[in-house]
Amino acid sequence: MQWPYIRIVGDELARKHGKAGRLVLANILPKTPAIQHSRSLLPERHLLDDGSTTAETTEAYQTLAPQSIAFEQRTGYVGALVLLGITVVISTPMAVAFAWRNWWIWGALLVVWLLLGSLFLWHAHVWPRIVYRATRWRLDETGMEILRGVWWKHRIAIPVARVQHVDVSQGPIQRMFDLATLTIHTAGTKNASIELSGLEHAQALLLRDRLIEQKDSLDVT
Amino acid sequence: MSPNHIPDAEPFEVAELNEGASLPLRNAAAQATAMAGLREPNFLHPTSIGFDIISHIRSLLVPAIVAVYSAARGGVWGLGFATLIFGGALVRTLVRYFTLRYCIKGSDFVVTEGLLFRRIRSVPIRRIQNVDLVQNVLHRLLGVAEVRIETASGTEPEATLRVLTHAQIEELRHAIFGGEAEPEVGTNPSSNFVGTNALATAALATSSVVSSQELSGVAAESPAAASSRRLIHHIPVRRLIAAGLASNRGAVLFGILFGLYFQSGFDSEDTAKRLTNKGWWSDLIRPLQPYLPSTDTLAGVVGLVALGLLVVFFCLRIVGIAWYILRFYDHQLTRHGNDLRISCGLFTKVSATIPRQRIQFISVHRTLFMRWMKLAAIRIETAGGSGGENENAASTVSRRWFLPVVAESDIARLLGELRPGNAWDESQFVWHAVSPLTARRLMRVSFLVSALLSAVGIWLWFPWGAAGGLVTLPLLSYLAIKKSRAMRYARTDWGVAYRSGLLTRKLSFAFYDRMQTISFNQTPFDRRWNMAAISVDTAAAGPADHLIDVPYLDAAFAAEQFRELQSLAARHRPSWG
Repeated sequence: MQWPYIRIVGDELARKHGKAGRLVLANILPKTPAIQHSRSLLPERHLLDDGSTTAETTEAYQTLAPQSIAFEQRTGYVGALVLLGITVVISTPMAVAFAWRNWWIWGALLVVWLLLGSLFLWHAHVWPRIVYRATRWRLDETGMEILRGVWWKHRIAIPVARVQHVDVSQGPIQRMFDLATLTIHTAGTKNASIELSGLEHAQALLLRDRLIEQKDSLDVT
Repeated sequence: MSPNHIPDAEPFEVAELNEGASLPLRNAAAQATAMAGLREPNFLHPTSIGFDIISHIRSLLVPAIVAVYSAARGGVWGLGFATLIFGGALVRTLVRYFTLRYCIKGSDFVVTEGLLFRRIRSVPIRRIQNVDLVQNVLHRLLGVAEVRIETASGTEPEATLRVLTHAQIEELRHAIFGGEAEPEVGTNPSSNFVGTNALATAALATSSVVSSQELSGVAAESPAAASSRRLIHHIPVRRLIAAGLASNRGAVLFGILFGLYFQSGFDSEDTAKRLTNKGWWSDLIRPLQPYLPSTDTLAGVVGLVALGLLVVFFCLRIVGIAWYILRFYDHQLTRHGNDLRISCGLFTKVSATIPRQRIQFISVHRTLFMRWMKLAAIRIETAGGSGGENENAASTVSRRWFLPVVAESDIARLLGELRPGNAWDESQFVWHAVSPLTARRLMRVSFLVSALLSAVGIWLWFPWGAAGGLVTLPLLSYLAIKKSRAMRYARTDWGVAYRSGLLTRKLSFAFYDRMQTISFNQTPFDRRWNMAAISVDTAAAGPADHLIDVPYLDAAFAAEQFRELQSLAARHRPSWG
């Protein structure tokens, strides 16, 4: 529906940060005026209700790239359409077999479709915003920390010295939005690889370099 | 226990003698002579042919039996197949025997094999972590053993040498671990892992410094102690018997037998019919009839049944004892510099080496019976070697059953041996209980479960069905309170400890320098109760049935612990990886 708009946003970000990306690197470091995309959207309850929602912590965490909302929405719409299609295909023959002569069955069917459709639409359109608000990350001298989850909240810390290797991957649709997925591998078993998708591509690359740089500097000293 | 040399019971007497002779001048020079012997390509021991044929035939056991049976009855096809199977095994074995060579080239251990497809596997000596031995009865009669050479990647051994003589094995061990005089460098896995990048040599030097600081406990001991072997723990037979009595091994084995019986082509319907047929049972008991008191009264029948159950129980326990003795007879834990070595077994002897740096996770398990007898089992987890199908006897013993049974009073000393420099005094730990609301939260769950039970009961049988829920309510509540009290979390200056469990008490330790990630999790229910969970991920392959995943902590406390663990884990650098 808004392809040109998306492209403009992508171009603008590319122009702003460029391939050299030193600017974005500055954003990765804490204590600098970070991009802090849509920080006004950050509700207090996003952070854990444990007293750690101090100014210090809110300052340090960063959000994902804002276009990740559009990306999630776009893929969500496709998913919603598919789900709705499946619902229609399954429910229609059932209704026919049950009581096709009664006019009300068609009304009921329509209501069910509308309800489910609006639920799917809500999940595709609104949910990504909620998830976006609940997802934060931070890189400092101790390592990477990722916060996520709306109902089930998870916070994971990966010390830099435990990073084995880092991948940055980009799917075709992600490429359209200039997004990337950062995967951090550790020697652990349960959390052997930690994924963070929805980062701006240039930023993901810089994060990767930064993590490896920090790890190497630890190994040398 | 004072440092002393291994008694005569060491499984490799011949080797022991050899080594004893060369012990005074044992150092780099000894390694050099061993190395020199291994520069030339070496063959396996000739008895390998026999053992190889046996293993080939064992893998083709069923077709082999069928073929031999058919051949014996004069079938031409059977004869053909039998020749094919045995001939094939013989050819494969001979090809393997005459083409397999092992030697040391430069700093690599090289195994070449194959006639048509030549396979050369070279393993840098520095990366070799374990030289494990397995010796079954036949091996022992012939004075040989199966050798497995493992690196840390180890889901599978890098090389399996079946079979070598003791002299060959000791030569190999000398060449690989000969530098025990300088254990920090020679056998330290940390030096291996860092070397993955181009800066190998520089990194090597630095990492060995790091680990020698870290293992200051070792440095504090005299260098002579570090280079000699020391018996740390020996399990006497009476303790194995106690462990067998305490364990449910027998029941497990019985279950396996039962499963095999039902799977092995018996008509299960027929069996079921027999089991439900009264006559079959009375036939079974008839031979015992003269020995049993005649009973027609109810009390008598009940007594008989109880007696029968008791007999079955003791039979199962005896099976358990037998299993423990077979597996762990003469279980010895010794220390060679920085390596721990385990050897045990009644018929099949197993010997495995575990470098101390490779220990990721330690867990102490105490079942109910064990607690009555003041016993415990210590398990460790190492990186890699994640078991699975290819797991061999040596790794099963070392990783799953590190110390199958020890006296409670010995635990602290043994744990100190595993991680030198760590204070293990459990009474010094500052244990934190879980949130005080936990008992109430768990009781609410038991209340809901009981209510559900009552509802179903009433629906089935009004109004007496409600009794089911009323009976379970106090029981479940009691368990809930006990469970919430059993969970404890402690932080020391080297790691975290977590203990839990009602019947089987488990106490586990994870170390700051071995923590891979730390997470803080909160479910919607946790939020309602102002609770959170902290969990720690390590490189341990299968954390000894007890993850460090502490639930029901007070949310603020958990957040604080998360922060502190995060910085502590970052500060304690791993000595490898």
